[in-house]
Amino acid sequence: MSTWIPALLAAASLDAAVIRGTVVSQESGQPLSQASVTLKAIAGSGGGTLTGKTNSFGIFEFRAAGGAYLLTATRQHYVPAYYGQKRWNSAGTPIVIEEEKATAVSIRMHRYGAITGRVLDENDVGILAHDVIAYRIEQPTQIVAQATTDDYGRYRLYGLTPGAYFVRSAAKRVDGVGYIPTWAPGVQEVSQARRVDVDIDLDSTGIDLRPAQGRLFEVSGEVKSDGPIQLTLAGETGRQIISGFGPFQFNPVAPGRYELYGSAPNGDCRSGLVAVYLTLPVEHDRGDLVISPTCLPPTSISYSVEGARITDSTGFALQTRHKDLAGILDTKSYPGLPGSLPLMLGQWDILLQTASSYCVTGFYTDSFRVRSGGRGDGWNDFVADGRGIHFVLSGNAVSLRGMVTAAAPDTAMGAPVYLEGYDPGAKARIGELHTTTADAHGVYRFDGLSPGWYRILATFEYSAPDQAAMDSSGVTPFSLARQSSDTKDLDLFVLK
Amino acid sequence: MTRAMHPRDVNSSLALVLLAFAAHAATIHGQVVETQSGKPLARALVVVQPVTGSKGATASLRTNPNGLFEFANLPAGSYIVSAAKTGFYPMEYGQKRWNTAGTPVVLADSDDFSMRLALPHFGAITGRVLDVNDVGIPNCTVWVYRNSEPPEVVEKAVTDDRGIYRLWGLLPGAYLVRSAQFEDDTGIFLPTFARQSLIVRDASTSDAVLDQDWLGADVRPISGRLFTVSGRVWNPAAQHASVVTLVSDMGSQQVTTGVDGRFTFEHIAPGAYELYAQGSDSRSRSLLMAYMPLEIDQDRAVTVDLAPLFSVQFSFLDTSGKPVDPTGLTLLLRRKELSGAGKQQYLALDDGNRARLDPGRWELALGPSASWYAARFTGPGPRTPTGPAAGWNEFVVAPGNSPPAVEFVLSPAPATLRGIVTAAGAASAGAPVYLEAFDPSSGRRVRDLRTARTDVHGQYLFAGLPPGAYRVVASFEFQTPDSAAFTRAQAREIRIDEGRQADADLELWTIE
Repeated sequence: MSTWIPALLAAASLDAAVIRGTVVSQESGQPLSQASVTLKAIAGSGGGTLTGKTNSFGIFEFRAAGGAYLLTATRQHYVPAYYGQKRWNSAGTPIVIEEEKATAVSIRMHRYGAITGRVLDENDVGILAHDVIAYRIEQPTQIVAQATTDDYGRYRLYGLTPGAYFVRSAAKRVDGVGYIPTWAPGVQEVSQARRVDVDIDLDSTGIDLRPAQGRLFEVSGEVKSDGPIQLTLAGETGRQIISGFGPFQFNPVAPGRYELYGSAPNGDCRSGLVAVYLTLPVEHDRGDLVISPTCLPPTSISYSVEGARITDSTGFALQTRHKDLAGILDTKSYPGLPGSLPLMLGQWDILLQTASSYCVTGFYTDSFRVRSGGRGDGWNDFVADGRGIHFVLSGNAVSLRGMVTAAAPDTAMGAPVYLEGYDPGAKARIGELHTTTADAHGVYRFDGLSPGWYRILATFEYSAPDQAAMDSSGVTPFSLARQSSDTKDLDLFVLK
Repeated sequence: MTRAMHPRDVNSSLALVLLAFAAHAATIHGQVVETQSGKPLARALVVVQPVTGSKGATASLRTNPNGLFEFANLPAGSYIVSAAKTGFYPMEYGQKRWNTAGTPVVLADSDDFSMRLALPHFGAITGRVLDVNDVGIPNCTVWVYRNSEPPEVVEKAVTDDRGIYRLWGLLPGAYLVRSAQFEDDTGIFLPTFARQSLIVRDASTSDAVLDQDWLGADVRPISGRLFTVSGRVWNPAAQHASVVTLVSDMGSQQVTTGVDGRFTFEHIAPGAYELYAQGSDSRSRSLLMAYMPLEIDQDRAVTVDLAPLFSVQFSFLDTSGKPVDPTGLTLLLRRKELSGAGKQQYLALDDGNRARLDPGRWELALGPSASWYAARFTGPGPRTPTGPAAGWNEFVVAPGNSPPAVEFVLSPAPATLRGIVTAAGAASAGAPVYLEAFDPSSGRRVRDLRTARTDVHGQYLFAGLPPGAYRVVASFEFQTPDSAAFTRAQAREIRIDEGRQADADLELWTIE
């Protein structure tokens, strides 16, 4: 296969347009080598998708058929950059390249934001090796970054997307005194915590923190198992992970709610794993814990389809994410429609992606035999405890299409269209945002949708609008009925 | 006193009692501060230790929130006072510089001695890990090695989003900085010494100094090939998961195998490694282990056989072949890792003189003893050089079919060295005395340094010495003098014979 790709490129280059450019750091102007660059043709304008990397001088070059394209650059630890975007979080605009002509562009990449400060004792002397946590201010508050102070008590939390944050110190025992988790600048109530605004390419400096002294408790005991097991103690200021056999001990913790869980492979179990899970309120020393892992019961998953049978699981995939008190652990994807998964005991979210003619219309668990209020097509949360979960599907998925129009002619070409499942009662987003791009004529289309309420927005102003952005764009909810194919024309939204 | 007391009365009567005491007792009080800022250090640990022969016992306390401390009711005498706090370099009262010894505080009856102890921060080295365009590489682990022969790992740090790292908590001295191997979307990079070298010889050194940052120890990683180490752990007892650990001088990685025992370590840089495996025999609920040194210069596939790990059998004999009861002996043990020596611990033996030790390389030494010195050592593993057994002796613990055996031959006739230290004709109390066993032909130290302090009469004593050549010096100018410092201080050379008492009166050495 690799032999005919160069031939194809050579053929294309006979009358091809050339687009070349540089990728540089916005902050320093230095060229960025090995950045991934993607040139994606807008549907209906001819051409396909080309990908490449910048060389050591930060230069890239594509030879492509003339047409309209979206140009994207990504690089680890930098904010993805879209050619023509107004701001760091707006979508890219199409670049039109002409046959037999060369077009030169420059893409500037931004560094994520950072928060810096010191953790100080009562004499303003820095406390070393103290963990500091950044939480995004949104419900529920989620840990997004962690750092540890140096010998002058200095910390730096980085890789932060612009927005508002809270900073908190973790529990720590040092020099005969315990420090309890404390929000900056030195308060116990999150309502009194200092709000820290973060922007790209900038450090929010001077966010000093004076942790309160208080009592910490021991969490220790013994693991009774055939082999070593990895144990996690999760609380709202993070996780401690230890690996062991026999006696175990975590670093002292502040009073509060914790989860203690762990697993290890074991061939004698049907799931291939032994596991243990317990919720652990800590109000005094817990030195007496006996951990006896047992076979992890697999979670069975069933799928019932209204009006049809699924004969081919192509296009279906299950996504799972494990959650504990410290937040989301990891997201995994399983192709097809697995009948059971070895999910660790505890809190999970699960999402079923369907082939385009199907949609999810419901989700319920054996623990709650009644179908939950949710419609099942977003993330569904449940407790994995060995009991089964069930998806209800329909073979008559809804599709939605329409035309995006803009004030000036042809400016809706390549416009991003965002569709969110919406709960009008709770005024909340359901599931993940659906995204597509209008073609060269401004036409868009979504397939595989579940019936229910939605909100839709066509705009270059955002690359991934959150619920607040959708609210401020003045979109109104609408309902998609069962077994229908709806049409909805949109005006391109422009921020005034 | 018959009337009820007011709180204020309690205070005044307490003061009376204290006053009565104060007629005889002395006091040391003071403050511990941060050298750079002069800010008080709360909860610093302060220790007052009487010089041998002084009355009183060692006392310790933590400073209050204002960094203040007070030791009252001390008998008259000489004391060494020291302060320590996590993250700071510990200091003794009277130190000229960070690497000199503290001088004793001499208290007469009723003295009230005031002092200020300033603690410096350890040294730090900072720099950046940079790509070909001088763009910082984030999330890159950076190791710092003491510039010794071979270099020993001391500390590590991770670069931030700008590619900046800071290695702190370093004792003053020369260091080598090295970036760890990594693979990202810009390529594969090998462990590289600052500024851009794969080998120690071409590495540039950085000097750590207390209270200072050594700036600009930048590293430009060199691209190359990393390898894969894969294999299978055979557990003869059962199909169970095992834990496999691959250790280099830059830390360790651990994986848990599936029940088929298969494991893979990816992105392994060329170099020396040790592989450990641990599993279990579920019937007997006992541990099974494996240990394997590995030299990686290509992709490797290994088979690891788990075996029971027997306790190590220790035996102790005197020079005439008679068994020695080890209960009175201090036996020191430490792990020997690729990154250097591990933490020193005491060897605890069971009734049959056995001890359960993890697989790998270990070192054993006989601690200070007035009645024995270690004359010979034999143990499993690579043949140790035939030197005096009185220092650290290496042996290897590997799982197998029989217990590993370690034998110490002890001589019941150690020598002693004693003398009086004087300064300008007067006995010097609390003076540090340093003794090194050394090889006159090579001029090199052959065992760990021994240290003593003189008592109130200026007398010192080293016991439990094997015969051999030594150098001795008394001075407040050092804390842990190296061989060069002994030479500089014109240390006295002494030949000590088996079972004899040697005498060496010393003049306190000072730098003019």
